[in-house]
Amino acid sequence: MTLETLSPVASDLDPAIRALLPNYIRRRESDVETIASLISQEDFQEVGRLAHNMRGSGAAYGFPQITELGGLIEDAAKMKDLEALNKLATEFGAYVKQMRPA
Amino acid sequence: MLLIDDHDEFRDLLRHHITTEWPEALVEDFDPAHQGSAVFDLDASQFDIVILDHHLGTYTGLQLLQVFRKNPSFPPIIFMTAHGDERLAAAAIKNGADDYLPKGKLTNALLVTTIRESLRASLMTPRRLNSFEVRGGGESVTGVRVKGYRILKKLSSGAGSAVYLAHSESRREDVVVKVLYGTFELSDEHEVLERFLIEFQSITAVTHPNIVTIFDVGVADDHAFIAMEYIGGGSLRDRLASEGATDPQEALDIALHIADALDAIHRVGILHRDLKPGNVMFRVRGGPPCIIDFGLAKQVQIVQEITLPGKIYGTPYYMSPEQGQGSEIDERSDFYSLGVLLFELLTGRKPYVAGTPVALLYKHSHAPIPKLDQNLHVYQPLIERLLAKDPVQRPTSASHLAAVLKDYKRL
Repeated sequence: MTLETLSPVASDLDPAIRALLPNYIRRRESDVETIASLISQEDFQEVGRLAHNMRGSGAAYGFPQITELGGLIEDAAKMKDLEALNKLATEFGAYVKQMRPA
Repeated sequence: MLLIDDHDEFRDLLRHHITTEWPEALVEDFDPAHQGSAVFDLDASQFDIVILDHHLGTYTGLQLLQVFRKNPSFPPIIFMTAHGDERLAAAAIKNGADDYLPKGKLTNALLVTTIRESLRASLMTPRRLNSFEVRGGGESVTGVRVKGYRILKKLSSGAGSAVYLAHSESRREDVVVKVLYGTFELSDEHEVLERFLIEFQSITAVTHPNIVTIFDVGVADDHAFIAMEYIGGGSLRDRLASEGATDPQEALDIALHIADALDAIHRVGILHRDLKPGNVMFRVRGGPPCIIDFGLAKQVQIVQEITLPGKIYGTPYYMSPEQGQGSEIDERSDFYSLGVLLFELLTGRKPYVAGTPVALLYKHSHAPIPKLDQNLHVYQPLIERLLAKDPVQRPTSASHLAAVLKDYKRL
């Protein structure tokens, strides 16, 4: 997966969830810092928990890429694969910077 | 409705969709990540619908489905699957799910249609003729009858109680009727019921803009009921779920209104005992808050939960250390709960979370009070005071608390 394939705009947006998106994006912005910090502490369990939530919610909020990245980060956390986690965290941070509701 | 899913934000989204369509509906959560396997013993017969995810950590939705479907009165179940996982969807239907939804393609319209169709289908089967049964002739549409009230629809239900929208024949307006079921034959239950009646009779005398108006309280052979004002602007719980943290001045405003309401009920000798965002409602969106569901109703439920097997206990996010330990409580226990609520308003998160209710109670009693972010640090002393483990360190009265909150509003 590369960033070029990831649209930062909520796709197939259901008008009923538009009001929730600013808060959703803010939480992901907060996740970027938290995940980086947790990776540096090698707290794989907590990284996995955050990623699991991203995986379960992203697509429903119009960001299937968050679901995809969340799944990859969760899997890497399970494997305690620091190299992959650092790479994915960078990708996640870059993607979140561009996220916008529409 | 009951949502069983271990993704916080997905539950928030479901609740948002449901309450957008049915603003009065109350939606309860079960989070397997925090509440463990108690769901296997769940008696959900009083819910109108259950929405069930598959990947739940240590067990799966399919396993739950097989257990739930052994109970013939279990409500319709909508199963959530990953998009495109037709095999899982087929397995869910085979195991008794009423319908399934792909999580990634969830829209408001799809969810609402699926819920409506599942409810409609459930009316056609003998396993579920409960809250949507129409008996005709101006009688209850729910099977519940409360003298003087025409029950219109069920709004929510929990262990040992249910809340209905009803039409008051004497007031000629729609009201909310909370029905507490039970035979009240056990001595403990009987004592609680007597106290319930005395306290609610006291509350009916309290007129305050930030307290729900209680119109009537009564008891029949198998239930007690409270008739109260219908409040249609949604709850603080819904608002926190959809909007997250609140502007600090607004958070303090809300806390101040609640402190005023506590002052009014404390003055007639009543403690709330169950202050939480779900019990703070708004008559109109953006308007002042109004507290509902005083603690004696909660106490009746607790007695019933203890005496009836197979019920899920609520997670005590807002419970003071002394209340969690079963010690005697006073007004300051309500101030602690308000402190938790204020923390959540300021930050969008709860001060303490844990994997089990017992672990959560332990944190209330022993864990350090969490620090607010730097931009909120001026409110840290206020939070420290309200969340003090020792009640002696909290404000001494609701009027004292209101004065403290006003000081912080001036910062």
